[in-house]
Amino acid sequence: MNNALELTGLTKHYPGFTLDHLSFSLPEGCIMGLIGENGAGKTTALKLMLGLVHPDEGGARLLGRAAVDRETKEHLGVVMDDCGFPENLTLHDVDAILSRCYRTWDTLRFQGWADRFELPRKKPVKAFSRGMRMKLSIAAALSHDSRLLLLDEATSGLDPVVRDEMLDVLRDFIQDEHRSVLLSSHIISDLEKVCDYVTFLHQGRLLLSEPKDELLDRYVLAKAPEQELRRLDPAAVIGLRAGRFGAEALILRSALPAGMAHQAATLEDIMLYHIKEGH
Amino acid sequence: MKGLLMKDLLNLRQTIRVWALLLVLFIVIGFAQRSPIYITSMLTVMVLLLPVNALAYDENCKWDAYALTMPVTRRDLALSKYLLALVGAGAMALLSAVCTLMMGAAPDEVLSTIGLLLAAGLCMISVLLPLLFRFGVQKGRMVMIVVVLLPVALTVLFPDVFTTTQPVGTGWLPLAALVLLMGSAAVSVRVCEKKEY
Repeated sequence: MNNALELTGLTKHYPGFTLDHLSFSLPEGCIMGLIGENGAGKTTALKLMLGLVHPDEGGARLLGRAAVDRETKEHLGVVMDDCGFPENLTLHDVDAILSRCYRTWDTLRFQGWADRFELPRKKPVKAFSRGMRMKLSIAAALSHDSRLLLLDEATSGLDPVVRDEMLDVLRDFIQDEHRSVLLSSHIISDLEKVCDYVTFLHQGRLLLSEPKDELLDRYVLAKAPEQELRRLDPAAVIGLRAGRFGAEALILRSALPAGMAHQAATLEDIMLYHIKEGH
Repeated sequence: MKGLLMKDLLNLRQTIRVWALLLVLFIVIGFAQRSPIYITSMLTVMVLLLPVNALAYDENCKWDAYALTMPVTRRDLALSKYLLALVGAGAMALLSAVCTLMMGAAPDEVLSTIGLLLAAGLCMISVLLPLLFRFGVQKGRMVMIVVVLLPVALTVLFPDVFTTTQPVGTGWLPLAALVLLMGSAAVSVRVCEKKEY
C-alpha cells in the first residue's frame, strides 16, 4: 500500500515552541485524525507539509512526491482555519478564478457542491458566516482532482448537523482507494466517527500515530477504588483520576485484573489521560 | 498567473468603479481648464494604487497562504502584482493619451509627459513592492508615505527641474524605469521565496 503522506523527522524551531522530529505516514485510502491541544503543533505541521513554512530539518512526501510543486498541488485539497478567499468575491468569481488556477477544475461539480451546501450565489464572501466560509473552502477542495485532503479545523464553526454531513462527504471521498484525508480537529468525537488512523501531538511532539481500532482496543477505563488502581503495574497505567466517589484510570487492557469494573475508552479519554499525566 | 490577476481585478472591482468616477471628474476638469495634466497625473497614482490595494486585501484574508496550496508558486504571487501594476499603467497611459490628444496637445509632448509620469509611477512601485512583500502593507505604510511624498516634495521644492520640458529626460526615463521594475521584481521573488506564510 502506498502512502499518501509521509513525514520524516519534520522539525521547526520557534521561540518558545519546537515541532520536534515529527514522523508518521498516512496510507492511501484512509482518513487520519490529527489531534492535540491548542498549540500542540497541528497547524504548524500542516504548514510544513504544504511548504508554507520552511522546515529546519526533515521533510514530507505528499502523494509520493518530494516537492510540493504545481503538479502535487493540483491534487491537493486544503481547507484552512481562515477561509482565504478575498472578501469581495462571489461564488461565481471564485469559480472563474479557480478554474484558471487548477487544470482539473470542474465548474459543474463546484456548482453542485455549492447548491448542496446551500451557499448564496450573489452574496460576496464577506457576507458569509463562518460555517458558510468553511463550506465554500470544502466545496473548492472537492471540485478539482484532489487525491489528498488536508483539513485544518474544518469542522469547527459548523453546527452538529452540518458537521455530520461533512463527515459523510469525507467518507464518500475515500471510497476511491487512491484518495486520503488528513483532518485536524479538537472535536474528537467527529474524528472518532470517521478516522481510520489517529495521530496525536502534544507540545510539538508525536505521542502516537496508529490505527484507531488498535488504539481503542489497547486501552480501557478501569473503575475501582483508588488504592486498588494504585496497586496496578505503574507501567500499564497511563493516568489516574481520583474523585470523591471512586477513581478511574486509563490502563492497558492487558493489565486489567479479572473482575475489575471497566468501560471502553474513547479517543477523548485517551487524549486527556495522556496529556494530564504530563508527558 | 491569469487566475491571480483576475482575482485582483475582481476583488478590486468596486474600488475601480469609484476610481473611474473620479477619473471622469478629472477628465471634465481637464477639458474645462484645457489642462491635460490632471488626467496624466492620475496615471502615476493608478500604477501605485492597484497593487498596493490588492496586497492589502490579500493580507486581510490571508489569501497568500491559501493560494500557495493551489498550483500557484511564490514566484507567481510576487510577479502577479507587477503584472497588475503594468496593466494599470497601460490602461491609464492609453486613456490619458486619447484624452490629451483630443484636447489638441502636440503628440510628442503627450508622449513625453506620459513617459515621464509613467516612469515616476513605475519607479515608486519598484521601490515599494519588495518592501511591502517583506514587511506587509500594515508595517510598510510608513515607507509608502515616504516613497510617495518624497518625489512630490522634491517637485514642490525644485519646480524648475521638473516643469521645463527637457527632451533628454523623456526617451530613456521609461526604459530606465522598466529596468528598475525588473530588478525590483527579482528582489520581490526572492523575498517571497524566503517568506513563511
